[in-house]
Amino acid sequence: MRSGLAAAAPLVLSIAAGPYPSGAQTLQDKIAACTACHGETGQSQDANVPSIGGQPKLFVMYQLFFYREGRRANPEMNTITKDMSDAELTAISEYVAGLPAPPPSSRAVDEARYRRGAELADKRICGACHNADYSGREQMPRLAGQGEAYLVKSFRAYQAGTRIGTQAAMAEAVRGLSDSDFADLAYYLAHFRR
Amino acid sequence: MHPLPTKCGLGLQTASAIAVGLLAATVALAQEKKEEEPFWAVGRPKGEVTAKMAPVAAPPVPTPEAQLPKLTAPPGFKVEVYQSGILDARGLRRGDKGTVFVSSLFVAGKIYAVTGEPGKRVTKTILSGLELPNGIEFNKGSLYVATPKQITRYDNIEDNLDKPPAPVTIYDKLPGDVPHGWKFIKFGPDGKLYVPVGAPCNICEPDPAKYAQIFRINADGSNMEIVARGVRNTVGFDFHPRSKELWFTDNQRDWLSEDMPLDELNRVANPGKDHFGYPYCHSGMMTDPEFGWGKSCSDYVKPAASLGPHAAPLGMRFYTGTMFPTKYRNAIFIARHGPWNRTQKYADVSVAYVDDANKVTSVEPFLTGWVKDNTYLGRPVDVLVMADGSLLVSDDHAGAIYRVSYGK
Repeated sequence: MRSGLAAAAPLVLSIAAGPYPSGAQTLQDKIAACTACHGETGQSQDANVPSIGGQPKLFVMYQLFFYREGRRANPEMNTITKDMSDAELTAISEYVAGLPAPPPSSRAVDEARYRRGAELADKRICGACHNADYSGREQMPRLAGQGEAYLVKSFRAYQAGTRIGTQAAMAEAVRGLSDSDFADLAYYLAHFRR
Repeated sequence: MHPLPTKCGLGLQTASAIAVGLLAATVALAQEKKEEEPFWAVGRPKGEVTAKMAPVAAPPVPTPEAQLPKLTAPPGFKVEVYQSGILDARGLRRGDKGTVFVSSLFVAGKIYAVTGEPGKRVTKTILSGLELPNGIEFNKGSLYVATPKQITRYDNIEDNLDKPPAPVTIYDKLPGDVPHGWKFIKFGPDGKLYVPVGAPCNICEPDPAKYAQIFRINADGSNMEIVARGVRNTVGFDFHPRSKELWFTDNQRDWLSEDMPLDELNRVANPGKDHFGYPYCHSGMMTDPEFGWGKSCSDYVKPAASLGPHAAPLGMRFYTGTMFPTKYRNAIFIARHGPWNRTQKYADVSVAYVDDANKVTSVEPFLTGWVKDNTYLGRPVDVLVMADGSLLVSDDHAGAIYRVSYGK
């Protein structure tokens, strides 16, 4: 984690030197607002707040855009992004994508649950879009190492249609899954090991 | 006209009942599959390369003007940025008073109006929060907006850009499916509004009374009649300036192979009778591996020209201006948005030359420079001939409009 922070630091400086109309201080403040909840290096300590480290840049851009436009509902995120310029949105996304990815959850693994989750993930071809190692790419988020509670919350939102994404792909991917399916799938992804 | 799939010895009614039964089974099967895959992934062959293929998502912010792709047109032409900073710029239409209306799709969900002289041009968002409002048209002072569900009209729009009037709904009987449900709409020389309804899938056998067709209606939405059948997904058409015939681009199915099928440029010689093959025959030359058994491509209208594998030809216009050299008169400019369902990407605005016998004599690249290192820098969506004869081109990937002019 230390090394990740050190690697991220020069990026902040290079952003500060860039031509961002709202000023370097503002951008630094906005990045600080991200890490205050999502963790210094993008690893969240709060079960309801996602880890953002290592998320693909385009995915982060889209989420900030959706929050700013009021197309994804979360009072804190809607407020934080309200006056964000396109340039800031782009720079913050680049910064977040440069933070280290979360390590797999270190707790002892319940093999039976892990396997149930793996079977579901295979059946729903999650890896086709999110990569076989669930590292994510482009507009599709990293899932490996994400918090279980947050993953379940996301599945529910996609199923309920309150969260949509860039395509209707996720609504279809989670259609018909039960709460226990969600729990198994989230367990597998949170503990994913190669 | 493609006949109903009648079987030997069966009456028409029985055959219809069978067709309906088959259709229900197909739809049920499609829904079963749908639970596990997004619609565009149905039919995807197994393998690492195809597993990584998905529709290309544009960035949700427009590309800053200085970083827009440097496009190239033939010698003598000049390419400039007409307006940048238009998120998800898709369809283009010209108002009587000089406004350029710009539609968008999923990313923005807005309709914009671009007004003003060069250097002082401004973009106003005139409508927002719309669902896939790709289809726009301007006619007799009104702006028409088509979503997958309905077509609405905003009267006297150019005098009310800051406060558009409440819309009048002129047609609300569209099926509303998201897959290939977004529209391209245009008034024909007959004063009727032409409206496509694509196939609600990559490849399936949908109800031909509702899907895979182009229909026309009166300006008030009445008197719907089907003009062309067997059309998978057209997002661009225009009428020949002399013959007045409808020509359209059509996007063919995905996942067959890297190099097939070839997307189509089509001509409707027999309105109401012509069937263009979907889902049975693709590109006028190959029957579908699933739905094509027992079918023959000779039963369907052949394309006027092939536009390349998975090329995604969208907007097209006959060139009716006088600014460009005479060889471009009545030729067709076609925006090839570029494939997602193919390893090697390409995109351009092409020009198709049409002779007096309605034959396409050649199709050539016209405006290039959209792809670098197999990555899209921009993707052309629609083309628009301006009053002075210059050509505007929209780009939904970079969020910009370019202007191509000739001479001076």
